[in-house]
Amino acid sequence: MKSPILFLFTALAVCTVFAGSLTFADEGYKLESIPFPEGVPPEVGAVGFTPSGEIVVALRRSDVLIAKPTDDPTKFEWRLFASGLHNACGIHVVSDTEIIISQMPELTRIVDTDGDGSADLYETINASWGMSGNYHETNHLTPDGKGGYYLAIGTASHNGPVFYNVRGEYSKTGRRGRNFSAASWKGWVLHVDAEGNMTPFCKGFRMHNGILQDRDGNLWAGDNQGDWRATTPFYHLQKDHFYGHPSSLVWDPEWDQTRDPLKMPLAEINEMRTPAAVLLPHEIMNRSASEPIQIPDTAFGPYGGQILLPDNNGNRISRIMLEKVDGQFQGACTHFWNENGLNLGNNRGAFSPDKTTLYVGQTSRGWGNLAEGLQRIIRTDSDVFDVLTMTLTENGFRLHFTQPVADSALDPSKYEMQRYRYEDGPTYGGDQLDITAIPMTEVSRVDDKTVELTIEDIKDGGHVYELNVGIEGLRSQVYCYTVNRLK
Amino acid sequence: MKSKILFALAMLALFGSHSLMAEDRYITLDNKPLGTPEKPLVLRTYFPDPGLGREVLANHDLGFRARKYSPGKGDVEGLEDPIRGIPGAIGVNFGAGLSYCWDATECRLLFAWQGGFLDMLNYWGDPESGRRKSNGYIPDLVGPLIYLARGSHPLAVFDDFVESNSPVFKGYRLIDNVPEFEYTQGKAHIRVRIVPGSEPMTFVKQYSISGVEEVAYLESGYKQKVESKDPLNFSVTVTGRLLSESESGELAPDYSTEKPNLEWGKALYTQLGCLACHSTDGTRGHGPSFAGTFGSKRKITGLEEPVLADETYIVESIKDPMAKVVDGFPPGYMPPYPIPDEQIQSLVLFLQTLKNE
Repeated sequence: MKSPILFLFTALAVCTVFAGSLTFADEGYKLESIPFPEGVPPEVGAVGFTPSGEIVVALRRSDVLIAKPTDDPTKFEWRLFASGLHNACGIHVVSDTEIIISQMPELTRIVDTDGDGSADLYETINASWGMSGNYHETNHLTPDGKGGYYLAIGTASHNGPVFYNVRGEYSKTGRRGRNFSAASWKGWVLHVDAEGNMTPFCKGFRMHNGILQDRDGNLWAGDNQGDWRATTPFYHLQKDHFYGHPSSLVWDPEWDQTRDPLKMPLAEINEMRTPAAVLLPHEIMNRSASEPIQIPDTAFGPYGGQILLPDNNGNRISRIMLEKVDGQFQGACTHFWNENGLNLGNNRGAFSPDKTTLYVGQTSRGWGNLAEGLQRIIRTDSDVFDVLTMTLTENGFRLHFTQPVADSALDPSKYEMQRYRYEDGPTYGGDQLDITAIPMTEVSRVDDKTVELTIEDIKDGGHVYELNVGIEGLRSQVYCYTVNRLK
Repeated sequence: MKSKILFALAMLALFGSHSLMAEDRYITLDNKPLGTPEKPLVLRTYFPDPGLGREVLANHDLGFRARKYSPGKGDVEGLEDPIRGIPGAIGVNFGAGLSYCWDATECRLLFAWQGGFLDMLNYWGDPESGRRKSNGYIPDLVGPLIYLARGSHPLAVFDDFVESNSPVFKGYRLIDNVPEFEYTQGKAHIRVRIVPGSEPMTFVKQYSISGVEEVAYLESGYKQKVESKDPLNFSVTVTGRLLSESESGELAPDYSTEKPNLEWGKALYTQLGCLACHSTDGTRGHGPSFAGTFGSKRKITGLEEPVLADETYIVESIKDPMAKVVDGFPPGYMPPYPIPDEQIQSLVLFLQTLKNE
């Protein structure tokens, strides 16, 4: 840990050199802010990289900008690649001359066909979802690895109306609700194959503002705390599964159209739904999950393969630690980055091709208070001391640290644990229920980097075990494991 | 020798304008973005519905009034009405002369207007707070409509003798910076590009069609001139006209339109889109500010002596903007406004209130 005085000195020095651009340092990482050209609103809808290492940023008003990253964060030479897009919120950079964008009305292939550096072809790949006219219906994409895409189609919000004239189909039943699904396929994940044909994939989302197919082919999406979301969840997406927000059911071809999903008994919804792999306790961890980003294997520190989940409503980025228990994913979350210079509104992220740097784009315009910008978190050569994984055992949890721990880490008073659960329902958000202090019955060493916590009576079914670790110098103190299944 | 110098000057002018054009033009915090005739601005966003009929929006579903809902209580007292807007259209702006809204659901031109483009404040929000308008976030048109689509799609495609009207949008390609929209309708593959015409208030729809033997083109309500190379490659020049408010389905005004008056002039300043280029506070825009114009002496491009900006001058500038172009402003930017004399007189009254004391 750097001494606070040294840190202050560094920050001041940097501040003097690059007027207006502050560098923040954390153990193992540093954070920098990257400006756009004068007057350009930095409302980052999507971020990607070209094969040759240029950053591509889709801004929400219209434009797609490209620049070659420079060591000095204020020296990016931006240029305009494409423009005219309606709230572009998903990007896949195919080549130096071709990008795929998901914008409000459609999935679009954008190509610079004549090589003059600016796009001239805007080809519709698929537009099978509707537009009610509600401002909230943004979307996101992830490549399927076979030339197609999975698309997360967000719902509308009761903080805005619908139009008299709707694109796609309109559902009167789907219109009801806090976050609602008045137009085709809102609250769904759709698959569009390489030929542009759409197949519905899974349903039951509120605002899954970000979707990821990881390197092993698993699909992931977070969602935002709100109605039918007591806290922010992180879901493993599986074909035809239902994830608990009922409004989207009206678009299921199998759905009995005389039924109003909002009037389903809670027990029936709970029976149908697939639970979150990981719950992120509201305010403690994350308020509104956005794009999941998988950490590269090495160059970015010890967390290779884990998934980061930025907070669109907080100055934090959560880190997800997954394991398979009884054939299903579950696991824990902690802070990867908490305050320390990070803006609010963290919406999208992408790693540079050299895998040393995470670029994070921010925006909240139109949803909440302005929190717009582009920042980057660069791996430095200082060591990271953190809990790398928290896994479930038959009798408790195992913590695997990034570095050897002293025997003082075996002192049970260093670990404070409580257990609670959430109940999803029609109300906006939900309290922690049945909060119970969990005493440590034993803390033992497994190897020089691993300790085991023994507790009594582990409860499954979505109970969250929140652990606060009081070990000096640890990067993050709070870890929350969601026990869906027992080992 | 002389011709060589002229050539060099011409090259310089070309080079100069080229380097201006090559400069990246970003969308900024300015909520009233504008294109130019050389580099039109294309923007996909929500559009207002200035009174389009159901025949025009035949491929849209209808949104309905809904019961208010509370996440805590379920259904509560009160109803929520939909608002009038177009969800999936594309706007194109050529500066003050022409803007249009082409819809990717109906695959047709919905309306055209002149003056400015869009005021995005409702949707993009105030630069300081970023707050969109809560229940009416549709951008406003800047300037009056000169064309509003009526009736079924002007281009009829017959597939096995059955008229098909379920177009599928395929995207667009920028040709000289102007989009050429592509869609299919039945077996027909249609490309259409819309550019400003040579006369004020006109525009040209350039069609190029394949996949069928013939199509029928019919639209009433506007003067249209069809020029065709063959049955599948033709262009239609549409002559628009300033549409009255009743034609565009707006509410009745709260000022008199019996005879010229100041309130009417103030309203016309906004309705006709004058505000897109002419400020009232002295700020320099695309055109000279109206502040202090009336009664002032103006330096005119190509004239030795300054000209007095009196009533005659104002009337001429509205009817024939190219007659006298104020020094330092580009010629050909402002379209002529063949509006009734009462409207011109009302604008004169408005400009008189802005003269320097």
